[in-house]
Amino acid sequence: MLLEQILFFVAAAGAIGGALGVVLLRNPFFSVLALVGHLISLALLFLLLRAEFIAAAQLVVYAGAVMVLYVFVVAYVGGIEEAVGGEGAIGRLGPLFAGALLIELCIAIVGSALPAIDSRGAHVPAGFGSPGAIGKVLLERFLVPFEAASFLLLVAAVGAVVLARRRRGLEDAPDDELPERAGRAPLGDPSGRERADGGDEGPPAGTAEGPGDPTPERDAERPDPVRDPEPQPAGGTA
Amino acid sequence: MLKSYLPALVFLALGAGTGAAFTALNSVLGPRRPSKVKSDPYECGLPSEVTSSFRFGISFYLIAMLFILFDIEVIFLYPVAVGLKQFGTFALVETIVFIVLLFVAFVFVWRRGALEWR
Amino acid sequence: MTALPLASVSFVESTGVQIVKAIVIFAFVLVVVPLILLLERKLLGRFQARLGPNRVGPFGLLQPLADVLKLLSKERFTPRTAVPWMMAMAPAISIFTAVVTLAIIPFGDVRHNALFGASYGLYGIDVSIGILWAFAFGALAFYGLMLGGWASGSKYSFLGAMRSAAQLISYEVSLGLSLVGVVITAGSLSLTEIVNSQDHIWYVVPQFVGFCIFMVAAFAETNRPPFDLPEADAEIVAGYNTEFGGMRFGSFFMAEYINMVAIAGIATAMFLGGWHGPGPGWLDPIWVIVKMLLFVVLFIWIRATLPRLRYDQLMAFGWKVLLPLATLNALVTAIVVSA
Repeated sequence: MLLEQILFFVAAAGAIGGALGVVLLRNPFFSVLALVGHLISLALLFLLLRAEFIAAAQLVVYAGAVMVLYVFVVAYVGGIEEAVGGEGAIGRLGPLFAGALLIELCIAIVGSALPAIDSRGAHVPAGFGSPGAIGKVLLERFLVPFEAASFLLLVAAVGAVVLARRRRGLEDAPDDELPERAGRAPLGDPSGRERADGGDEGPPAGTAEGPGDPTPERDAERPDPVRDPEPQPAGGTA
Repeated sequence: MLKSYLPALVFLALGAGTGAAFTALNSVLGPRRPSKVKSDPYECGLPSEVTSSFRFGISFYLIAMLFILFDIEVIFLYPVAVGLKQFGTFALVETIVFIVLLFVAFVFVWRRGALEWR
Repeated sequence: MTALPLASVSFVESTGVQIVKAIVIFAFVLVVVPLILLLERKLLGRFQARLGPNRVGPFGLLQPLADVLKLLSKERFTPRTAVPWMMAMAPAISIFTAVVTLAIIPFGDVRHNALFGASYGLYGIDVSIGILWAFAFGALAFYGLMLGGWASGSKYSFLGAMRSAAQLISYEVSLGLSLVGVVITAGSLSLTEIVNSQDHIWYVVPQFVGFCIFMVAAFAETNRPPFDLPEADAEIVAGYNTEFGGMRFGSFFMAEYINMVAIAGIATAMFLGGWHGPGPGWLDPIWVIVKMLLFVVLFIWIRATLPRLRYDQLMAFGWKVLLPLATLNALVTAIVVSA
């Protein structure tokens, strides 16, 4: 019982800390990571509420899938260390609105939660929150939402493809047809040679066979670097 | 119910401990001889640029988007699959409709060329 | 509210037993991983008509120890462009997620009044979400690679990380779908219940397609050849771990092997009947270990046999072959089992 309480406070602190991190951190990559921390804490809170399946789904879908997309988007947009917005009417009214919302939510939550503090909480039947119970509820009580979910996913797939095509057309070629890769990033380059694994000398160190660590030698081997004195190229591409 | 998760907590602690130990041990046991060359990122012929202005193909974004959709499909299917044997024909039909709708999405995505890696 | 059916009221041991068994399983895997390393190098040597390591200790048995000692005595360095604290976190996350996944591997059923009169189940945890536990932490493993690649501040690392990420997510869907057939047949997500429902026939027979999909996706998820594109040294040096040295590199390396053990354990439970086998009851864990070893040897054998895929082939295979096949498998199983 004590362990449960400790875990609750750990998760609660993690959730609040993560949420604050999302808002306060400047680098979008760090913001995404803070959001991941927040979501993991939420999963733990769900588990403590006996919602086992929801906790697992939270990790698989949110931390494992949605956040992957966020990471990719940050990688796509580039890690620009600048906050957006803050000017004009939105900049001035935004914090005010957020503050009002916070106060209102606090009143609502505290108002409904304070009477519940003395009680033992809801009675939980055996098997509550298990995948079997959720499946039963999905197939019997929430039939329409269940099917609507799959229809929604279908719509989302269509939307993603259409948007991606439009974006790609803007990106590097005027035509809407998919252009061949002309001078794009070297990713997924089909010229990557296939290498029969473990050639005559055995696999190269550092990837495969033994944990032979190649890195220090690699640096030692390199002769006096030519571009050593010059500073690293500034990464700021507007 | 929560009691059955206690070993998991031990695993969490052991995993975190092992990870932290492996990460930190080199700082304790290894030598420390920094040099300017050593602190350069790895390069191979071209000057190594830094990542912050890196741009990736739209394929990654699209794949991640589709991944979310099908991941949600899988996570929906699991609880349904558990009880499918007991629930009878109606549940079976529902499940089939669910899978087929997503398969339609899949075929659409494929036909529009979103699965071509570029 | 009436009592729900399917209530899986699983057996719960006393606190001490729970802690001890978790530590025992963890220690076992920690001992086994270096042995697998040695086995792999020995077998690869034989496959390539050479002897493999045979200098350190009798028959080269101490080779893994020498490797670890060497890695531990290396200097820790971070590139000037890196984010140091995050570079430290990345390998730790990889090890963490790999170790935590081990919790669900069942080595045997619940024993009542067995050792010292205590009752215990030979597994880390047996919970109703079962296999989803592995998926949840498998999904988090993404961050180990991604942080490692991103924090290194090197283009090869970042390229490798993005590649691994795209590969991981592409095969994760097929991995999940391939097991739906087993779940429908067994009517449970808990691995021990799935094993128990295989006492007549191992699911590798009725679910053969699912088994094949699972194995292929498992190779991709563990970054094992022929799916080791994240570290395709011909193209992107060493992928996400280019800038890692010493035991941090070793952590990524070890995480790969722990993941391999975990996947072998899951495959054993889901498809090869877990602890079912001839002989008395105390042989159960031995059977599980033997079957897991079979999978590990399969992993090594495939590595020695197949060349690495090209990246576009990898993605096309994952999305255009495995995913439709896995969907079809789930559909057909659903119809056959419940109609």
